[in-house]
Amino acid sequence: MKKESTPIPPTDYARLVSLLEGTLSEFEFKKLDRDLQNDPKLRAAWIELQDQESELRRHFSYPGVRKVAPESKMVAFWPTLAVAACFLVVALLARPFFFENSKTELEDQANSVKMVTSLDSLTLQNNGETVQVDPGLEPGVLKVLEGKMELVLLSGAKVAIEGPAEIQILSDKAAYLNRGEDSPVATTEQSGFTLTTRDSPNVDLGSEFAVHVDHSGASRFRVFANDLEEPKHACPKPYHGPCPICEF
Amino acid sequence: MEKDSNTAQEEAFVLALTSHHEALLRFIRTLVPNASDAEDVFQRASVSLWKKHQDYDPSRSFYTWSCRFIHFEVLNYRKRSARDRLSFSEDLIESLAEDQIESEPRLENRRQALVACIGKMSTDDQKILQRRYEENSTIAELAKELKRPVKQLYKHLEKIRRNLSLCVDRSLNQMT
Repeated sequence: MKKESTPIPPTDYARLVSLLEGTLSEFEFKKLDRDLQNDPKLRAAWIELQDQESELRRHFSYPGVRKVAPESKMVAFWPTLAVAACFLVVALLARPFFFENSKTELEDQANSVKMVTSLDSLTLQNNGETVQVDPGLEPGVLKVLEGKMELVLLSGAKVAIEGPAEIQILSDKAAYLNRGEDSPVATTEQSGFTLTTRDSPNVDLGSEFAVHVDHSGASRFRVFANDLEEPKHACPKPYHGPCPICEF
Repeated sequence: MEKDSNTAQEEAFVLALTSHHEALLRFIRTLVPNASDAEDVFQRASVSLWKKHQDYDPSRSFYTWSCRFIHFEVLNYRKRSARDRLSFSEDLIESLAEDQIESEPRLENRRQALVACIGKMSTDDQKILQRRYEENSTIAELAKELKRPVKQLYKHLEKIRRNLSLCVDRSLNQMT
């Protein structure tokens, strides 16, 4: 490793800091420009100072993340960033799309309506329970042990689920049915809603259909209106999570 | 098939550009001292790089290849802003660009040593740096918050930076 050169005089260092902070006058700036051209040591000090400044900014903005050389940095961090970005995108897409419902929780309780604020591992047990979904609902897995419920997404898609069923809501336009009995799904023409199962064709655009997914994950579709598309297999087999491959 | 190949090439390019974002921005900041101007140059350079992405040979260093284009973008910026901004002369930009590319491996060693040096600083100095960089506070804002004169804080920050630089020098010299 090359030995680091001796430091520049404090007065020169102070000029470089002034350059960094943008506090030099025009005259001082031009003089420093000339000095930098003529003095490689001063140039090296400027490059080091700017680099240190960038690293300090990075260090205090993202503490604990130490990046190595650019080539290996990509390998080390890209999968994490990709997964994080994917979850973020799914969450952002889904968040505003769930139901427009201005009723308060108290009003719902008064009407004996269950307010769902989280889909993640939600379990419904009361037969015939009516469910309203909070506008700030996050995507996640919905488990219906028994009884019926209906989800109305902002895209217009209606997903009626009859337990026992397990459905993973990915966004207002996509869901993945892990397991379920005949579950009629009605969508409007423009909704573009896609319901996927492990081995399903995609069904969308105004279709009304029922789907049954058994314990092994195999699905059977019954279509009431419109056509089934050719199987696209947008999701990998077996499917493990909401991102990033499913078509929305 | 050709379409797939183009898509793969485009994806590889976007990946490379994203992962080199910080390194390229550091390169620009050396040539363009004003931070917001440097961001502006980076955005324009990203567009230029994208237009040339088919010329990129993945077997070569993306950093070195990109810096060549960025160098020209900085010269264009200089022409545009020469009248109303203080910008480096063309000769200096040439020299700095060359020095910066050559220094990259050495700078990477310095960055690694810097983290240890930050850990050796007093807690008070670390807090000052944290407020300065994490919250992106100006020296004036920071001085107000810490109830200290601006000039005194400016000098104190200069001392912190210099001490850090000397600490990095010492650490690297001990390793040789």
